[in-house]
Amino acid sequence: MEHDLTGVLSLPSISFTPANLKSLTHQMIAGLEYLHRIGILHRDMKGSNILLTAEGDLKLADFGLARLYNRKRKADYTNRVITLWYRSPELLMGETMYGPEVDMWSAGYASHFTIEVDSADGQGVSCSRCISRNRYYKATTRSTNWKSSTV
Amino acid sequence: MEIDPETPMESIVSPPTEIAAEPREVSERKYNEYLDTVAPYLRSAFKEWLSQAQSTPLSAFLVHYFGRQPDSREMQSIEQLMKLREPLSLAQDETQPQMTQSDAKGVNGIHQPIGTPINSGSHGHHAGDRSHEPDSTVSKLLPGEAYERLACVGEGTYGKVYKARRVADGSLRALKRIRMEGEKDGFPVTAMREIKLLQSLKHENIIRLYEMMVSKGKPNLSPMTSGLMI
Repeated sequence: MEHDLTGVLSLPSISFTPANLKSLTHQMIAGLEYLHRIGILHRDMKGSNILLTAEGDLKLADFGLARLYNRKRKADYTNRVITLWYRSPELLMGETMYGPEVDMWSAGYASHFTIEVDSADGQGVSCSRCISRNRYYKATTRSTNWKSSTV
Repeated sequence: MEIDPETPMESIVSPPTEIAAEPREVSERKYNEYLDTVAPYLRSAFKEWLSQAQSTPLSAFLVHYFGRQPDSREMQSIEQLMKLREPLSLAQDETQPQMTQSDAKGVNGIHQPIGTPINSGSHGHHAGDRSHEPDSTVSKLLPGEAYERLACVGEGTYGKVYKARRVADGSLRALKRIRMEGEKDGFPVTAMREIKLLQSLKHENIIRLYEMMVSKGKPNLSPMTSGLMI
C-alpha cells in the first residue's frame, strides 16, 4: 500500500475518515515545522511528494528544490519553484522575496485538496487561471468539511 | 487505522478450502466468471492485495485500502474470490517456480536508497512488482551489489526511483538513481545539494537518507550512478 498522496487520492475506493485527515494533516505540518525550524524551505510541497506507508505514516520527500533560507530577514530567491497549482499568489505574481510561507500555502492546498478529494491535476494551466482557481478555492472552501475534522 | 475488535480475525482470514480436483481450465473459468460479477472496486482491492504477495492479512489490508471496515457483503465477495483463486495459485506455483526479472546490464547512475515508507515487511516474494521497463531497470542481483532493485516506482528528469531490497538484511528501501550520463562537469550540483540537505534532516515525518553509493557504468560510458537510500 505504500504510495504518495496523489496516488492514494486517485484510488476511487479510498476515502479518508476525519481521523485519517487529521492525522495526515498533522504529520505533514509537523514535518514542515521541523524543516522551517532548522531553516530549510522545501519549495516543492505537493501530493506526489508526500509519501504514505501502509501504517498511515506520512513522510515528506523530494528535496530537489529545497534550500536553506535566512530566518533573520527575507532574501531574494528564484520564483521558479513549486508546482504550479501549489504556488502561492505572490509567487505566481513573480515575488522573489519570500520565506516559509510559500510552503505553508502549498501545504494548505495539499490538505484542502485531500479533504475535498479533488482529482483535478494542474497540468497545463496558466498562471492567471491558477490565481483565479486559488481565489475560487478560497471562496468555496466549505466549513462543513472542516467541522467534522475538529475535536 | 482502527480495526474493529468485534470482528473475529478467523472469519476474515480465508477458511481452509477443499480443493476439488478439477482441471485448471475449469477453476480458471469459474474464477473469471465470478470476477465479472464482483464490483470493480472490490476487484481492484483484491488484485492490489494479490499483487502485494498477500503480505498483509486480508482484513487489515482492506481496512487500510478502504479507509474503513469492510462490510459483510464486501467481505463475502472477496472471500469467495480467494476461494476460487486458490486452486489457480497452487497450479501456478507448480508450473512457474520462479518469475525471473529482466537482467541488468551494468548500472549507470547514482543509487540513492532513500529512507522510505516502503517497508511492508514482505520478505521473499515480490510477485506483484510490475516493471514496465524492458531491461536494466529491474535487475537480478549482480555480485557485489548492495541492493536488489524490485520495481521502478517513479521517474523524473533526475533519473529513476526504485523499490529495492537491501541484501544485507532484506529490508525494503527506496533507491533513487541519479543519471550522470549527460553530466560533463562531474557530479550534478543539484544532486549534491539535495544530498547535503537530506543528510542534515532527522524527523519522523521526513524521508531519511540512509546511504549513497556510486556504481560504475559500462566501460564506454562515464562512470556514474549513485544511489540514495531513503
